[in-house]
Formats: sequence, structure tokens, C-alpha cells
Amino acid sequence: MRENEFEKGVAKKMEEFRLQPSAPVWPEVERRIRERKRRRIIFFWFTLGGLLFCGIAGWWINDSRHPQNLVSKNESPAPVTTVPAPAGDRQPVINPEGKKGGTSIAPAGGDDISNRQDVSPVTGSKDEKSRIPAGDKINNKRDHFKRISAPVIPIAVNNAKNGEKKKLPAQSNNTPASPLIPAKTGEPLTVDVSLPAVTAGEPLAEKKVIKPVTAAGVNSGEPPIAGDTSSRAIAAKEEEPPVKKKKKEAKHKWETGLGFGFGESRLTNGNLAVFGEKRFDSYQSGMSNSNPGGAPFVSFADSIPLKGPALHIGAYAKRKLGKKTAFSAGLNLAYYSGKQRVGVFVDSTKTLADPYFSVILDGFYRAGSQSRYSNRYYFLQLPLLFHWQLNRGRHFPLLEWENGFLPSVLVGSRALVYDRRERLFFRDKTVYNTFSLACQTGISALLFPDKKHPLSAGFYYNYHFSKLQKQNPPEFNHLGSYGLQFRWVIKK
Amino acid sequence: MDERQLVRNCLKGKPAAQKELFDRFSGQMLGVCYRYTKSLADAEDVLQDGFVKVYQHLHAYKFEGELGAWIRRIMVTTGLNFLKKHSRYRADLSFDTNDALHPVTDNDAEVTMSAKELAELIRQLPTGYQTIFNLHAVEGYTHVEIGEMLGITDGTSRSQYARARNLLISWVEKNSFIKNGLYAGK
Repeated sequence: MRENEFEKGVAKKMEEFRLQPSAPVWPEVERRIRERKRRRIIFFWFTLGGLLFCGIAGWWINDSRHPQNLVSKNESPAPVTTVPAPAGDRQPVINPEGKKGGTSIAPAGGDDISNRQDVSPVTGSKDEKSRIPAGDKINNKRDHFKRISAPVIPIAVNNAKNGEKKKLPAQSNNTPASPLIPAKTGEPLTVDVSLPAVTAGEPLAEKKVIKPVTAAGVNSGEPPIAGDTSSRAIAAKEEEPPVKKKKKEAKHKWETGLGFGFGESRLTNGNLAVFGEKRFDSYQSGMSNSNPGGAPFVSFADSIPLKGPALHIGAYAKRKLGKKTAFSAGLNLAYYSGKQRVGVFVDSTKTLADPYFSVILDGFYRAGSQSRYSNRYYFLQLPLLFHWQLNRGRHFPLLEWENGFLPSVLVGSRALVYDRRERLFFRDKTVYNTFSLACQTGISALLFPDKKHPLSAGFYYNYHFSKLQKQNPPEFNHLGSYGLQFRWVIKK
Repeated sequence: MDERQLVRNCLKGKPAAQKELFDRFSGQMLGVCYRYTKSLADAEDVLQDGFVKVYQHLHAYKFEGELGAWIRRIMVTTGLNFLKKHSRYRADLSFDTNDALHPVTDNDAEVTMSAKELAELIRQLPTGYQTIFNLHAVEGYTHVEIGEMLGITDGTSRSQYARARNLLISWVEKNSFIKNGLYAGK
């Protein structure tokens, strides 16, 4: 606070003080303004282009690496042996109508696809068929999908039909990569997101009124006394009114909140097909016209999960980068699901083996459409999103377009894996990629912006570039979901 | 064009409005920057940085208070950042930690010199003194605020200000004597 005539005089003189800037100053300022604007535009289009490129590249790679692995009619069966399960563990099986009896069981080797929807082919012996009781409800299936052993070992098993013993060829765990076991695609991917530097810590929005000079404690009429160490001026300074605390508007640079979303999830075949209902349904029904040559179409419809509900919930922190841009990071628990048409449940121990992969099942589902099974996947996701403000929010709610990536970790699953050779479903958590990378886009509107805790609502779509299943990958192997999402701002 | 319209046009990105805003305030703001630096080139650098920030954050100006005062605050903040950033100022900007109050005198000198001369005298002060004197005597910040801005205690700010003030008053008086022919031969 200025309390003396001297300060008053200095302030007055300095108010009058003007200097003319040299000519190059304005062109330089103008250049920097334009450059900043151009950089923002370039950044926007670069990010958009990058996202598009990633999507197209992901689709192309998956499409080229993943030929149509349809089940061939003439496919030779794999060496499969069946071991009778203990009598106490057996579970009954129902037919599509839920009536008692084994009417859904087809004769062994029945490969007639035309009536496959009606009958579930059963390979194996008559004994096996006779071991499948019918009529009871499928209730306690989840305990029967326990994987007994992963590594391949020579197994001597009984052929139930003729009592012969067959020894499977010994296999090493270090077997070369199989066409059925593609190279790992689920390794964790890192996303390098470069953010523009932001000048922080300057409370620009704050207004400061320059306090007027006061002459308190000064006798302007008196001549200055050299060496006067009067404490009056000090006392006057001590009596300065308490400083009003500055508004801390700019202090909270991060907006934090909670997010929730729900919608529909589905598996796609890698072409980012959001609403490819036609193709999907044709696959599902086995009526696709894409089969060349008019040969009888061999559907893999059994392996295609239907859509199911999707949910995600989490927290996020968001920071403004510029006037219209922001970046957010968060942590979500996401749930994806898809209902699966399956046939009857077989409560029996079965060994699946091919040259590179072997597993002993303790219960499985046959292919068919007698019942449905919900495949469930739980992910921990780290959404890294860029937000672009689309309007000023004067006449319409403030709209934001968001794009970004979701590095994800599969933390749990309860889903069926389809074996094409045997055409049966079983549970095996080891076939999934633990890490995956998804992209997300969405648009949201800010509601009640004047409230302390505004809400934003909008649509989202996300798509997993990474394959869900790394072993025996099915055609539809990329998770995606779309729906509504809400964000509740806790602290802004 | 009134200030409100000028700001709106600047926000729309109209180059003519941006130039007009610069022309309207650049002289006054260069004077502000000049007082915080030791050379005109540095002052112009601060002015450039400051105006870039002004255009960048103009949307934050809510027409509450004078536009000139708002821009001036940005210039002062930019000037302080400039001093902290550049080594030739950073060394001089270190403040001794002796918080003992330097006696503040009632000695007032009548400022009869021109604004330019006074600004030159202020710029002759050591950087620390110069900064605190400018912030307190000219901009009107309190010592507590200055302490927060510079990362020092308010006592240090008071002490530094008292020394700066005494030094400047002595220079002003000396300058006045010289101008009036009273200092000849001494």
C-alpha cells in the first residue's frame, strides 16, 4: 500500500510513462498467435487421422491374418477320446423343449449341416450317448468347466466302445506356433500421448483493483528529515488491512468426477462393424450368401455370440488444455457380455487334442441352439481421452466430442470357447488376451453447467483393436460396445 | 470501437481487431515491461510474450474491471516469469533472508523529473529491489501478495522495499540537486 507522497508521485509518473514498441514486435506477436492456432488445428487433425489410421490398420491386419476359418465339411476329426466321468458328477441334459429324453442327440458322425440346428451331433461311442441323461434343468454348469490340465502329456485312455487303449503322441510345451495359435496379440500396448504445454499458475481471470495511494501517516507539508527512523511508517504498514485471499479459481486445474455408462456389447469380426446386423444375422442363422460356388454353406454360427448388455463405471480426472480442448484420464471397471446359443450340456470328461493344443474338459456344451449362455468379460480400463468442445454452449448445451484409447486388462471372464473341430463349447480362461487396447469415441452434452456438480450425458462407442481370444481365434473376436454414458462432476 | 466490441472481435480472430488492441495498449504495457527489465530488448520480449498470453486467454476476461488493468496484470506476471526464467536476472533476484526490517523513513522526495528519467532510475536499482519497488509502489500489491508472488516472506519484501525506497529517494534528490544546480562541485 502506498502511503507516502513519494509513492504517489512515482505511481503517477509511471502511469504516464509510455514507450513505443519497435516495428518488428507486432509481426512477431501476430506470427505466434497464428502459429498457435495452426498448431492446434494440426494437432486436432493429426489425432483424428491417427485414430482413423489405427482403426483401418487394425482392421486390415486382422482381416489379412485371419482368413475365413470356417469349419469345413470335409474336415477330419481330431483325435478325441472320451473318458466317462464319475457317476456322481454327471449332470442331466435337457432338450430344446425342456422335455425329458434325449431327442436332441444326433447319431454319431452326423454331419448334415442342414438339420444341425435341430439336432446336436455327438461324436463318440454309444456308451457316451447313453451316459447323457436327459430331462433335468441345466443349473450347475459352471463348476463343470474346470480345466484339468493344460500341458499335453501322453494319455492312455479307454476307448469306451472297444476297450482299446490309445496313446496320444507326446508333445512338448515348447511347440512351434500353430496356425491355430497365432502370435501373441495381447501384449500390453503403450500409448504415447503428447500434451501441449500449458501455462499454469497465472490467475488471469482474477481482477485486481490497484489500490489508490494514501497519504496516511505522512505530513506532506513538513520538510523531510534525513535519518528520521520514526516507526510511524512501519506502524502504518503493520496496520495494513488483512489481505483478502485471492480467489482460487485457477487452482483446481483438474476436474474430477464419476462416470457411468450402459449399452450393448458385441463381438465383431474386426471391421469395426457397428451395426452390421445383416451380416451378423446371416452368420447367426447360417444363411449367408457369401459362400462362393453355391456349395452347401457350412456355418460357424454356433461360435458367434449374440449381443448382450455392457456397463462401465469409474472415476476420471480432466484437465483443460486450451480454450476448447481437454484431456482426461480415468479408471473404469467395464463389463461386456454376449449371449451364446449352445446345445445340451454334457457332463463328461473329454480330452481335446490337436498337434499343438490339448485340454481335458470336465463338462462341455454341444453346439446347437437349445439354450443360451451369457459370456461375460470384466475389464479394468484406463481411458485416455481428448475432448473437443464443439460449441460455446450459449444457446444449446455445451457439446464435447471425445476420442481416445482405453488400455485394458481382462480381470475376469466367464465365457465359453468354441472348438470348431468338435463343435463344442467349454470354458477356458487361458485362451484370452490379458491386455488389450481399445479406442473410444463419443459425444456428450453438459447439463446443468451452473450447478455445483454438473452432469454430462451422451453416446459412446468403443472398439477393441486387440483380439479377445488368442488361441483358436474365432471370426468374431473383437469386443465393442456402444450406448449411453453419464459423467457427474464432483469437483470442478 | 469500444472495448467490449474490440474484445469480441478479437475473440472471433479478426486480425484488424487484434492489431487495434495491440496498438491501443502496447505503449503503456511496454512502459510496464520496461520497468521490470534492464534493457529495451528484454522489455519487448516480455511485451510479446504478454500479448500472446492476452490473446490466448482473452476469453477469460469477463468485462469486470478495466481491460487495461487486466492486461497490465498479465504483463506483470509475464515480466516476473521472465526474470525467474533468465539467468542474468535470476542471480540478482535472490533475496537475502534477513527479515529484519530496514527502517522506513518519512523522507519523501518530490518527484519533479520526467517519467522516463524516473523509470531509468528505477531500472538502476538491483533487480530484487527494482521488482519489489515496482510491485508495491507502482502496482499497489501488498507485501503479503508480493511474498506469495516471489516466494519470499512478507517481512523480506518489506525490508527489501525499504532499502529500495531509500536508495531511490537519495537518487531522486541527487538528481534534483543536479538539475537545479545545487549539487555542483559535490
